[in-house]
Amino acid sequence: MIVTHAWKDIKRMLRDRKALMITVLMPTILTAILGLSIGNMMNGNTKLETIPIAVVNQSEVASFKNNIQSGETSDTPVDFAEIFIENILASEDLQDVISYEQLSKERALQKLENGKLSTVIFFPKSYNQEVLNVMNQPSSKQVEVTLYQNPDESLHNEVIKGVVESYTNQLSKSVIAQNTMVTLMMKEPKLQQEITSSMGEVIQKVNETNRPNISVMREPFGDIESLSGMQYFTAGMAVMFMLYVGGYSAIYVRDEIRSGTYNRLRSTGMSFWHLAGGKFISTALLVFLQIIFLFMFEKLVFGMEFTNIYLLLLMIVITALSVSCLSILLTTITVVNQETRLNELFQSVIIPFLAMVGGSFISISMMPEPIQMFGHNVINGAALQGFTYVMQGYSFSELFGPILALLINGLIFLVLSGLIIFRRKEVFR
Amino acid sequence: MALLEAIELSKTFQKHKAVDDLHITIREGEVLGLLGPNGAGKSTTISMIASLLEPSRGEILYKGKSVLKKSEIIRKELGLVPQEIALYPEFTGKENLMFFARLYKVPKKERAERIAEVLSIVGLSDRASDKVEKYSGGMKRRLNIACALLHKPKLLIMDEPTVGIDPQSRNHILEMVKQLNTKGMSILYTSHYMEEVETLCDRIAIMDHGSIIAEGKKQDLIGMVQDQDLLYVSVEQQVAGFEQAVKEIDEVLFMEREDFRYKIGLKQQAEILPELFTLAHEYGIRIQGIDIQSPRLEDVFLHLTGRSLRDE
Repeated sequence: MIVTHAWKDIKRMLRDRKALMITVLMPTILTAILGLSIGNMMNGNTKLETIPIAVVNQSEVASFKNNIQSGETSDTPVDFAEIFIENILASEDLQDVISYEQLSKERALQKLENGKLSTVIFFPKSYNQEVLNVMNQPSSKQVEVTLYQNPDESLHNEVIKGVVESYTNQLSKSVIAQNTMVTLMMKEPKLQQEITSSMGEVIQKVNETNRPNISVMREPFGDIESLSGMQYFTAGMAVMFMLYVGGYSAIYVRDEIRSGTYNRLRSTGMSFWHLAGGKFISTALLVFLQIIFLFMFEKLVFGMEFTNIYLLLLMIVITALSVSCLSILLTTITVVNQETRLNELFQSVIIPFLAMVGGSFISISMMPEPIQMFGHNVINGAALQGFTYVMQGYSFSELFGPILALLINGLIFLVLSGLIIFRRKEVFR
Repeated sequence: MALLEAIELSKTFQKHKAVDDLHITIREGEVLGLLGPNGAGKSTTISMIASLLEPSRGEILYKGKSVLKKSEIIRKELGLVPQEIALYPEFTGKENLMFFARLYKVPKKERAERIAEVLSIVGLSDRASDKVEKYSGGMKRRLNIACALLHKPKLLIMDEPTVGIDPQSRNHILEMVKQLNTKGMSILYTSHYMEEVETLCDRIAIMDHGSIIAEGKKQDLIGMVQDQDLLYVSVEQQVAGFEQAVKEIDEVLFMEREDFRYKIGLKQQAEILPELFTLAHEYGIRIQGIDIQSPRLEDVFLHLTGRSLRDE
């Protein structure tokens, strides 16, 4: 009898044009619009607060031999990493944008893992010496500054990368200028005066010359990848509009009650458990199909990557089961209070609210801490986190948090249903 | 033999007593009509009999066994035709029937045959594949009945099955009810339409304020007002004072006006026509027609409740 009810509800939904528009067409269109228009802007943090970073400076001070003007050799200590920290990061211009701290590598990476930092800039031990080597011998091996970055903060990451690249470009130009002048003076020592006065030519050469071997290397933190806007919004819209499927489940019961069909069903010997069981199965299946459709559509049309299809399927199944539990709670409330306006309230107020705090439209990280906490643990927020984790390449063990949150959500919905049934036994006899 | 017996049945909603100490019996093979105005407690009574609502007090016996203790004993032999169109409009007629056949646990190999059978009974065989939302009101009513017949119930409860439909569909349904009863099905039939109950029912129970105020065969009930004659007088115009003057005649029991037609209850075999014509002449009223009728069921209802059933 449960299967009969489930099949009936599935058929009703599939023939309900309005329901299909809301649960399938709207998320598909919205995903395409948001994913294409906002793109990479949304997959990270766009807040105007300072970007927290750490600098790990392990580089040792190197000596620069200065013998150009006097003919005598003198050692000048240079620390390009320190120059970057003091002249760039600590500059007034960047103080409002970037907040930095100098940490050990272990501590910095730990804070990055905990989400406290956007980027860790790592200057290796030989950095200064290698820069000098490049100055003296342009063919020397590439000097690398490594950026460890939080994949959830890709907009911030771009900003930091830009700052570091800007510095290295500047440094590179200095190196080129140095190399050019030295080369010219070695060829024509007598023309030192003219060379010095011919800086215009040098600068032109600098601008014409390719960058030397000083570069910024972005280091993904672990195996985690940044999300594309399409990936983020596909998940965001899926977890928002799956709630409508749960809502429709209760709307159909309300319609059955109003049309007298519910009483007719009861007269056949149907118990509430048959009805609830049917709702559970039908909602789970419909949500599963809805999310699969949405993900497949975005993949086929926009080439969106799933990253790990098996973990994605697991997340969809757990999410669908959790929404099924929600549909049972809504159904229970509807049966108890047959005049309830809960369903209208759920669709027009509760779902948009949950979508907002759950991160369907804007990243949860933009919200105050308590809302973030709520958003990450509420059914759609947990599902969104799970889906984005999967697409970022997180492993199964790292999905434990979102999965647990979804299961707890489902359990809470069932317990609440049970309490209502227990308190209003006479309605369910 | 009593198929179903409700004994001292009461139902109270908060402080409102919807059904009060009701006793009703449905015998095997009979059509029992349940008459009563809105709010009389008919639907509450039906809900309790169908074990959809728990009585506050009393007992319901089906074939001598308590329905309250075990509702299954009646549910599998009960067909309920609700007043509402309790169907899925987005499904076809056949899909609705298939769904309810599954719920009534009609064996899989018998379903198709049984569905064809009930479609034939209600005259919808040729529209079975159309969606219910495309049906006329009468067709929906007929399908509403068909769904309750799938499992060959022994007792059929029909709650206002002809509300809001055209005369043709109504006649079809009345004819169908007669045929079902002929085949041995017991039927509890509620309606606002007095003539339907008069035509169909072997016995009639009149309900008001949650209680059965009269019960019996049609002739027995009419016998309650047999000492009255009814005089219908059609007039061309109304004149103030005429109605009051007629009411003051000793033999007149009551007088009601419907536009230009008066309904006058008289003591049996009272002779008031000469006096009536005299009064009409005095008030300058021209009498267009006079009709004398025997009491009908509606008059019984009026006699018992002081109200007209249709006015409710």
